[in-house]
Amino acid sequence: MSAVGRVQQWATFGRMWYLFDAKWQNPFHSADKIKDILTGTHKPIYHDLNDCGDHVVVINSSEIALPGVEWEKRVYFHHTGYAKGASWTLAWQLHHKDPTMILRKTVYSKLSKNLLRRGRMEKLHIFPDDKIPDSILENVSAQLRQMRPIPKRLDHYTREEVEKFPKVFDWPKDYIIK
Amino acid sequence: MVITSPTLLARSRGADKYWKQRRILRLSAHYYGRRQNCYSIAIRSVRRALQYSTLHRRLNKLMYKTLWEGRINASCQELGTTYNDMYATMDQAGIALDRKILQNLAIWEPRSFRALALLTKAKQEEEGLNSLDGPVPAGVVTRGML
Repeated sequence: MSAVGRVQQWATFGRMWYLFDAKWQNPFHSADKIKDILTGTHKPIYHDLNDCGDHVVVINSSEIALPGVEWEKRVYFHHTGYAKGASWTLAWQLHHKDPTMILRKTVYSKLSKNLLRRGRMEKLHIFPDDKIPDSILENVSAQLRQMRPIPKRLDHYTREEVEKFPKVFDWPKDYIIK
Repeated sequence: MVITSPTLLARSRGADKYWKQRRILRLSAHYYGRRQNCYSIAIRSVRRALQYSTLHRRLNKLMYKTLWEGRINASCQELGTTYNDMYATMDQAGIALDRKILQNLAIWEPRSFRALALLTKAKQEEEGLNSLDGPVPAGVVTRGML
């Protein structure tokens, strides 16, 4: 390696495309991570004037998991600008209308409020399921780790596994499980 | 004959008004509109600009500190550790590298930086603060004792 080439890092300025599987992920928690990628703060070369943000392709956004009572209690506000133009949409209603909207709005609100925000949002590609156009899929070069493991539901275990699971006690014969 | 020279000399003491104004207008030369050439308007902007520059001499240092910390943290997280852990380890191990040098290493000498990150991880593991494998802190009563 030559003395000049010792510190050559052309790939440093390469634009990466990350794939993120939003299945069973908390969108508010995931958005923190996605925001870092979009702004480029995950790189040591980051600077405010340096356009070093990467692309994020989010799949399965229709299967996000909101924590606690957020589906019923979280409200998205919109105003048309006219009199009586205010509207409040619950998270579950918004998710029915557009399954990418909750994640998109969350990332949008987490990004810093400046002229770069719209451009950074352009680097975010959200898909409700795992069907991605080939033009986008061919760019994807890395994957983001999921923020939390996907839990396995009881009905996903086989009957054999459930019966083999060690039980501490048996219910009484006359006990009715609610 | 009346000699006026001393009187006139006494009156013209101190900085000339013209040159005093030129001094200010030099600083406002790049401003827009009447702030550029009208003294009474220019002086306001120049005074405020000088106040800002005094204030921002401190804020500039703070800005660089946050930028460097962010960069070091980004590099650390790539390597599985954090800025705070590295900060503590550098202090303990007596490695006197400041933020400016560390962020330069992170950008230009990633392998040197990786060595420091590996040192951080080894030290943190040795202390065992973030794991259940480390030594039990004193004064904790566990089941085995009773």
